[in-house]
Order: sequence, then C-alpha cells, then structure tokens
Amino acid sequence: MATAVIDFDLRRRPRGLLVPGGYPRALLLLRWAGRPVGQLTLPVENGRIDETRLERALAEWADWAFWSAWLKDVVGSEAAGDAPAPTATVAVCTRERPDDLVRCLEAVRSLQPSPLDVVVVDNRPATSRTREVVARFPSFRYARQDEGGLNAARNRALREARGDVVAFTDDDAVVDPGWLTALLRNFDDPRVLCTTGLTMPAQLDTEAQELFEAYSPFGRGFYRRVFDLERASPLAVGPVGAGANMALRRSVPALVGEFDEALDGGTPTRSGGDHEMYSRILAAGFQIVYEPAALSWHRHRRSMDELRETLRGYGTGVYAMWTRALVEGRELGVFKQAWAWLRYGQVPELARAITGRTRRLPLGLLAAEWRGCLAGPLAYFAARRQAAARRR
Amino acid sequence: MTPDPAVTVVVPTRHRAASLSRALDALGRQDLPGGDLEVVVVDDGGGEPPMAREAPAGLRVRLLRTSGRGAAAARNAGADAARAPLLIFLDDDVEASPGLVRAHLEAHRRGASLTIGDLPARTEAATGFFAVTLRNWWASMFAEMRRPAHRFTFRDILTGNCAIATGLFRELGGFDASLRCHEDYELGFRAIRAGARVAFCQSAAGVHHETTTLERSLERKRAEGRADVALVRKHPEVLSCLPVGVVVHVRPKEPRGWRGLAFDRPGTAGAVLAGLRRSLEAFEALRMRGRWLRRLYLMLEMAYWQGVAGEVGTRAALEDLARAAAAAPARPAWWLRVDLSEGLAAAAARVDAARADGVVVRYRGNPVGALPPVPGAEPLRGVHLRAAVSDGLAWPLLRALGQSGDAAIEERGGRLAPIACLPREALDLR
Repeated sequence: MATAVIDFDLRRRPRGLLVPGGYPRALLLLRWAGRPVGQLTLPVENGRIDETRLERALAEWADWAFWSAWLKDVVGSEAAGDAPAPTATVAVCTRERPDDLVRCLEAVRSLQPSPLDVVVVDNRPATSRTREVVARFPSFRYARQDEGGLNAARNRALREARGDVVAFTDDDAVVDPGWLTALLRNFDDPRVLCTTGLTMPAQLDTEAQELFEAYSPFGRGFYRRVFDLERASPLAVGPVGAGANMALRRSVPALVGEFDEALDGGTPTRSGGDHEMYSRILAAGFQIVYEPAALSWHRHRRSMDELRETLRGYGTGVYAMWTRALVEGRELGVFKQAWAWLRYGQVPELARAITGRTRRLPLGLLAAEWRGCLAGPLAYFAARRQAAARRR
Repeated sequence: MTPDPAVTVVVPTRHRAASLSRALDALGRQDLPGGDLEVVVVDDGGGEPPMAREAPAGLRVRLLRTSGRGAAAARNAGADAARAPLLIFLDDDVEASPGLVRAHLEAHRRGASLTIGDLPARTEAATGFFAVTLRNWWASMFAEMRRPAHRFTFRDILTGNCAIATGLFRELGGFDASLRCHEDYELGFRAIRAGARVAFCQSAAGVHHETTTLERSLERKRAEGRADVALVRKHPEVLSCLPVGVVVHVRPKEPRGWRGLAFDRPGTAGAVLAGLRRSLEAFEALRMRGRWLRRLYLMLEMAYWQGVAGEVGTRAALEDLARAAAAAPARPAWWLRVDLSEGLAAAAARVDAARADGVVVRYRGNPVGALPPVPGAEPLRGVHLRAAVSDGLAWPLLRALGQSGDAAIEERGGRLAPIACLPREALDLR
C-alpha cells in the first residue's frame, strides 16, 4: 500500500484532483497562499479524489491554522519591524549520496531570495563523487571534513559560514523556495538562537516509508511554537524539531558551545546531536522557534533494513544524549524523562505491537529501538573517548 | 564660542568610577560630529569626584553634583543644565553602541517625542539560574516593545536609555524627585497623558552591564512596592496596572498566604525569605528549574508586599487606598467606531487620525469586538487594529464575515467551516 504525496494550494485549487500512478490514497499537504496549514489523507478512486468527499473533508478539517492564514491573506499581514533581516548561509552536510545531493542543491539554488553563501561539507568521503556534484554549482563552496561524524561536519559548517544565521538541510531533503525566508523571519528576536521547520515526506512509496511517517514523522504540526525554559523541559526536546531542517545563529558556539562531536551519525551514538544542542540552548535560557512555514520535503529510507537501523540509531541517540546530560550537566530530570517515555510511549507501543490491535510498528522494529536505547549510555562513553582521541 | 549641541546626554552616577568611565568612553565613540553632543555627568554620590581619569578627547563633559538627593533629582539637575533641544538619559552602567545618539536623534526627527533604546543585558555578578532569569527578564521586556503592534504604557518608560524632547521634559516639570523608584513610570504617565509620541528604537542600543544579585533584586522589589503606593496616591487610575492593584481587581483577600506575611506577621517575613533563599540553592543543585523559578517569583512577590506594607501599614489602610483609588474621578475615555467593511487600511488610517483610547470594531454593522482603553497607555494606532484583526478579533471577524454573507463561511456546532470547500472568489479587505 503506497500513498501519493500531493502539494496542494487551496487558493489555486483546480476543480478536479487527479492522482496519477495508481495510488490507492493520497496525503495532501494543504497550503493557503503558499503557507502550509494542514494535511489530509484521502482515498483515491479511479485515479482521482472525489470532489464532494474532498469538500466535506476540508469543511471538517478547517482549523485555526487554516483560518489565520486565510485571514492574513484577506486583510494583509502585520507590519514587520524595522530590524534588518540577518544574512544567511545554507549548509548541507553529506556523505556519499550524490543523487540525493543533486536534488537537494538544485532546490537550494531555487531559494527566493538566495542566501549569502552555500557550503557543502563532505564528511569522510570514500570517493570524489560529492566534490564532482558540488562542482556543478559554481557559486557553492565545497569543504572536506575528514575527521569525526555529522556533528563534526556541522561544526565545520558553522566555522565556514559567512552569514549571521546558518540554515542546515539534509542531503536527502528538498527545500521549498520560501524555506529560508520563513526560517530567518524568526531571528528578529535576540532571544532566539535556533529555528526549526516543517519536514514533510517527499514520497511514501514503500512500507518502510509509511511506517516511518506514521511512527516518527519529522513534521511537528502546523502551528508556530516557541520553546523556552518556561514552556519546555530542556530534556524533552523531541517536539522542537530535527537537524534535517533547522537554522542556528552563527554565534551559537560562542554562547552555548559547539555541537558535541561525540554525538550523532558517524559515531557510536548514531543520532541525538541536534537534540542535545536544542537541550543546551534551552538550558542556557534562550529560545527555539518551530516555524511550520519553513517547509522541506524529506525522502525517508525505502527499505525495512534501513528503517530498522534508523530506529535503532534514534534509541541510541536519545539515551546517549540523556547520559551526557546526566554526567556533564548533573541533570537528574533524565530519570523522569526516561520513565515517562517508557511508561507513556514505549510500553504501550510494545503492548499494541504484541496484541496486534492496531496497525502500528511491527515488533521487530520496536525491538530495534529498545536495543538502541540499551546501547545508548555505553555508546556515549565510547564515542566520547574517540572524540577525545581525535582532538589529541 | 561653541555652537549649541543637538543632544545633551545626562548620566547620573553614584560611586561607580569604573563603569562611568566605560560609559563616557562609549559616548566618545559616537558616529556624530563632536560639536553636536554634550554630556552632563551628575554625581549624586558625594565624596571623591567620580571621574577617575580624563574624559575622552573631543567629548564635551560637564560635571554637576547633587549629593544624595536621588537619581530623579540628579536627572532633573542635568536636564536643567542642558543646552540641546533633545535630552538623552543614560545610566552609568550602560555602554552605548556607536549609533545610539544618532538613532535617538533620527527617531525624534521622524516625529517621536519620547524614545526608548534597546538595552541588551550582560549579567556580570549573577551566575547560574539567576543570571539566566535576569537576562531573560530584560530581553522579554524589550522583545515586547520591539513588536510593531506594541501599545506603549507608562510602564515601558525606563530611564536607563531614553530620549525626550527638552521642551516636553520642561513642560512636564521633570521627574518627581520625591520618588526614589519608578519615577520613570511616573514621568511616563504624565508624558503619555500630555500626548507624547512614544517609540522603541532598536538601533539606539546600549549594553547594560547588569550587576544585580538576588539580594539587590529583593531590595529593588521592596522599593517598587513603596513606590507603587506613592504612584497610586498621585495617579489613582494606574492602580489596576500595578501588582498592588490585585487588591481590588483579582481577589479581595489579596495578598494571601506567604505573600500576605508582611501584613500579618511582619516579624517572620524576613526569616521566611532567608529560608526560601536556602531552598533556592538546593533546587538549583538538583537542577529543578520549575520549582526554582516558582520559588524565586514567590520571594520577589514577598519582598514587593514588604515594601507595600512598609508604606501603607495595615491591611485596612491598603483597602482604604484601593477604595479611594477606585472612587477617584477618572478621565473619560474617548471611543472611536470603525467598520471593517470600509477596508482595513481605511479603518487603520481613521484610528491613526483619531488618537482614541478605545475602538469599537464592526463589520457591516455586525459587532466584532473592541480594543479597550488602558490606563496610562498611548492612544490607539492603526497597527494595533491590524494586529488585533489577525489575533484577538480574528474569530469574531470570521463569524461576522459569514453572517454578512461576504465570505462563504458557516458556523456548524461552534466551529467555523468553509462552505463549498472555501470562499473561492477573492475577498480583499486590505
């Protein structure tokens, strides 16, 4: 069972909605005048979505995200402040995915307006293919990072960047032309050190992609949210967003420190580097904004094997990050967070998988996540030793 | 003879030679022709002259002394000596950015008569949770003023970095020197009532070298409690805008519990504060942020009520004050009626022109809502209407649009639903 993914602007809506490709259903990203306002999944019959069914669904669905976008369009939006917009660098950290990278960089080239500069960090390359891809984009800069994993590459990007803000996109994502503008708008407040955006699935063709989107989607909804110490715990940063679609002030390393090179892809901890940064930003009293207008399309991994590895990596990353918070930050709240995830997330999920009551994650995938969690603490110490050895 | 300067910067100071010379150095680096700027340093401390070394070359600095009569009196003395048509009040712990004076000057040339400059805080003495809280407190205050749709009230007028037309300042008679705290609120109240055009000026930034500790914050809260009572005595209508106003506006028995300790058992309030202080340290060591923050707010409120109690005495006297304030004749509010069917731009322009205290908003005669009058606030401007339309008034406006039949919206069981998928033909209210 596959799902077509359709980008659908309600203001420019054509009369009928054709869905080629023989998909049985479709996920619609709904926009109003370009602004993402919601999503709907509808059945596809004979290659089209029935008009009355669509209208009924839209009438049921219309919520405040839609109405506020509609009203802003009708009455014009709030006047902007007098502060000049910050300049921006777009950074892509990549490793041996030349085909994805071409699509990614083409989208970056179509950004309106274009960024000050673009840096592609090639993380421990095995071949010269990434360099060759970047050479096709003459104004983009190539930086080769032979040491460390994804977080080392992110630090490198922060050092290479010339803009006031560094916007990160993953190499397997395609950004919307308005992505950068939407991210930058939020930096007019000096308390904001980081903005994350809405990440939608680019395709849902395989079971693995559907499961990923159902179980751990990147999207965090269609309402703008501000995170700070009064509204969020620095140890529960899942709702903030993810590193595939985020922008940081270039001054972040000076204010709260660099990305921890013992975390995330390319190290034993496998993930968690983005969330650990969010955690530190919040603990230092600064703000993070989730901005759904900053839209990006992510191609999820296609095979079940890749999905299993991804989920195991997430488990490891979360527990590695909590281990770091406990030993480095003396944050005892880690135990409370781990208990809450177990009690309200993981155990009920496991029960559902065993009884098979609802169509959720298969047991094998859940087991991978649990194994990942158990490996997290030791993985953190191993990765820390490796990172220290690199520095020597 | 040198020509009259365009700007007089008044810097009151008290026993802080090091921070004063940092402030003067920063004023020496302004991107402004040297003759356009004079600085009046008012020493309110007595003893040694405050300037440990020479003022920066090319900066015209005069020194006055008021010897301990308070910051309000010091600023008045500085303003009396001013020769320029624009006054900038700058605290001695503020390090001006090179564009500060020019940015204030330009905002006044564009029509403002009272401008507040940005004051990003650098928390120096405080560490840990307290430093974070202090920095956020300052940042939130200025973030709110930075919003284009912010409605300024007397509580936004801070003298750490503000500029006021000299003529207006003298017309108002300067600061009320009998107040030792919140004299800026008090001046702001009179300035706004006299029709001052208030603006926030982000580019007029000065770094505020904040040296407050928890002890000094508590002391400051006590002073605020005392000052707020004096403020209510002078301008009764501000009662509802101040924390002390909770007496009449939220619950009649306020302040209750720990907060009321200063009235009920004044002897123990100090000991309780000391105990709470120790628990703060424990919560910080355990990284329990929520509890720590709630505890801190409790302590600050307790200190505030200590100040209030010190000024009024008993609960009965506090209630008398509140009753007298409520009974005092208030200035009648000016209301304006607008109908959004004339277009938002036209309605906003009418609000700008009317300078009303409150606005009633309708759409084709159907009620939408109101922007209410606020004591001590500037008159409503068009941006306030624009912001309300996409925020607080949005839902009733959508309903009114549906009722009038101008947009294909209907109400179904308390929800608004777009009819026939959505209002297809463009409705434009700009």
